[in-house]
Amino acid sequence: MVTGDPMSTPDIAPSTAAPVARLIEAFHRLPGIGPKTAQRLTYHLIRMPREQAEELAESILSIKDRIVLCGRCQNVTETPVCAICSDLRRDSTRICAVEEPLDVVSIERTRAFRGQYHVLHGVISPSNGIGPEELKVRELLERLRDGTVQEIIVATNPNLEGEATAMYLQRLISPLGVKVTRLARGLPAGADLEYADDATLAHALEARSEFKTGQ
Amino acid sequence: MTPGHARPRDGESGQSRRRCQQSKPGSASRLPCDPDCFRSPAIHLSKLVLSGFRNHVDTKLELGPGITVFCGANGQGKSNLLEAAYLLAIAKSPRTSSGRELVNWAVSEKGGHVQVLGVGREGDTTIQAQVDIDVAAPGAVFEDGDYSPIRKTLRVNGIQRSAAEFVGKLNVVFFEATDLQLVMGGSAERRRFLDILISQTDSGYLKALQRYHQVVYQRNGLLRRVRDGRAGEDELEFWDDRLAVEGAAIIDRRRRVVAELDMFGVEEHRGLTGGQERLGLVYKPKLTHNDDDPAADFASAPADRLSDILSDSLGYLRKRELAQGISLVGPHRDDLLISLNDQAADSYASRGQARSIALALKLAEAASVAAATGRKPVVALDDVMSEFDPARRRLVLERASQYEQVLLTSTEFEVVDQSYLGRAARYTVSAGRVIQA
Ligand SMILES: [Zn+2]
Repeated sequence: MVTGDPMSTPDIAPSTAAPVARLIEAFHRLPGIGPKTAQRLTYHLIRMPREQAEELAESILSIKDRIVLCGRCQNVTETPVCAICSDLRRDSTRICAVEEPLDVVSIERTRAFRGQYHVLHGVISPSNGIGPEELKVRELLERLRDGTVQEIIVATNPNLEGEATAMYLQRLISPLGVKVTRLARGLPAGADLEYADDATLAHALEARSEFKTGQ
Repeated sequence: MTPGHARPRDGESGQSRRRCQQSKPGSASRLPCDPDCFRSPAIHLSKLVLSGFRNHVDTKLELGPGITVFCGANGQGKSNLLEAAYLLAIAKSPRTSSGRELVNWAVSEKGGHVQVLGVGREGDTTIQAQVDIDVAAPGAVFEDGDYSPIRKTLRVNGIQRSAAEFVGKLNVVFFEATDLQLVMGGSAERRRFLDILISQTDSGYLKALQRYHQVVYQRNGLLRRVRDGRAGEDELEFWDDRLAVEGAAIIDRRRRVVAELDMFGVEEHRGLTGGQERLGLVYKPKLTHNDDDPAADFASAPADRLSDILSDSLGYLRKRELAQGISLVGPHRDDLLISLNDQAADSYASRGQARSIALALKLAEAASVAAATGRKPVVALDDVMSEFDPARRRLVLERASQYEQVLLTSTEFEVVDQSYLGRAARYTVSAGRVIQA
């Protein structure tokens, strides 16, 4: 675990011009940007050619203006309904519920899932003020109403918060007659048993499966 | 359990004696602490390399078994050597939780790399433990985009490891003057003592503990949300269940180690006090559904009943927990009850008595690590000798020197009894430099 000093607000000298100070502060509010980096980025931008700066500003605005959440799966998209949700070849009886839009990208890359998605936009984390109400859970329930969906695959991360979310969804959805499943946890492909940590190994044993032939 | 590893006084029993007999047939009548018979498994730190660690810019030490004394005035860097050895054992400093305090000022100012590397030798095998601390230069970020200003990497034999995987590869038991807080201080000190001890011998424990603390953190948040009407009480079910299950595993583990400490500690304490006083150690939960006698349930409850007891207690205390917005039950609140002649030691013991108890606890820790791992840990005595009278010093050295390696710091060589000092490796430490004396 990294132990570091708590992040402090940048020490902006009183002589710093107001627009400069404003941009430093704006950068500092972004995730992963410390005070020093915020300063460095700002002074980099001051030296940047105007057209480059305009392009950057425009691309920031366009994600705010043009990107919306898909009316069905809540993934980020440019159209009211995203490409996956409007793809008729996909299996509409299965929905894979994920934490973040990036998780959709990861699962899509595997080409192993042909169903649809639902992006929760977070996980239950009471200490950070995030309960089920703050997630896109109501929207998920809405999608179950017409009876098409037969299975929800909960693909939240296998940590406490992910488990809490999975458990909540299972309690909520199972009574509706929809099957709720959870991604299996196990050994990473190509991993050496010797280097697997105990918890992973234990879960892999727990979730062991029979040899399948002819697949 | 083979207490004999750490208590050769009673005769080396079990494994170590068998080893002695095998290696030297017909030598069973030898005294157990005969140096020739020193074949029981033990680890010693054979090499310690510090670069940029506190005031040690570049220190390389080859260390042997037996006693090594580091002598120097305060602030010269002798204790930093022991701190480094302990860092290699438990991945944390006993003094600070801030990584920045561990790095040399020059590195802290300009950024750079700090390394603490140790080689542990156990018989013919060696193990290399290494803690790297990287400090980003001002205004810079790490190449991979990591924005943290400072980061710590743990490696065993060159392979990066998590803290849970790293801890326990080298075993060091660390004695310092503030150990007195174990007896006089708050319950957090004693929980920390138990947790470090168990982490050194049980690789899964640290992970379980981290998970448990996350459960408590989230559950406390939820208790406040329920209290404020922003969440339903039914949402607590998952967290209650996790607290009971994870908490029970931690309590059971601590309970077992306390029973072991009680066994070793009472013995050590008797030796230190000449049998005049009686030490007692009991694991004591803060609260359960049995308000009158919380310890009663836990002392006798079988391991598989613990999570049920915790669950019942959560139900019983629900109103109080909601009102206060914190988790009131569980191992994060429990204590190690120390008694002296059946009186609570924190209020009853004098400072001198408390010092003996703290020392007995640390010696019991060393014995417990030896029993659990089957090999003797390194013993580090940081500036503790000056606190004792000459007779007690000899006793401490006698007990400590049962271990393969003793690293000791002091402001003067004289605190070490001549009979031990003659055989000890001696160094003086001055301004971060270590010179053979
Ligand atoms: Zn969609």
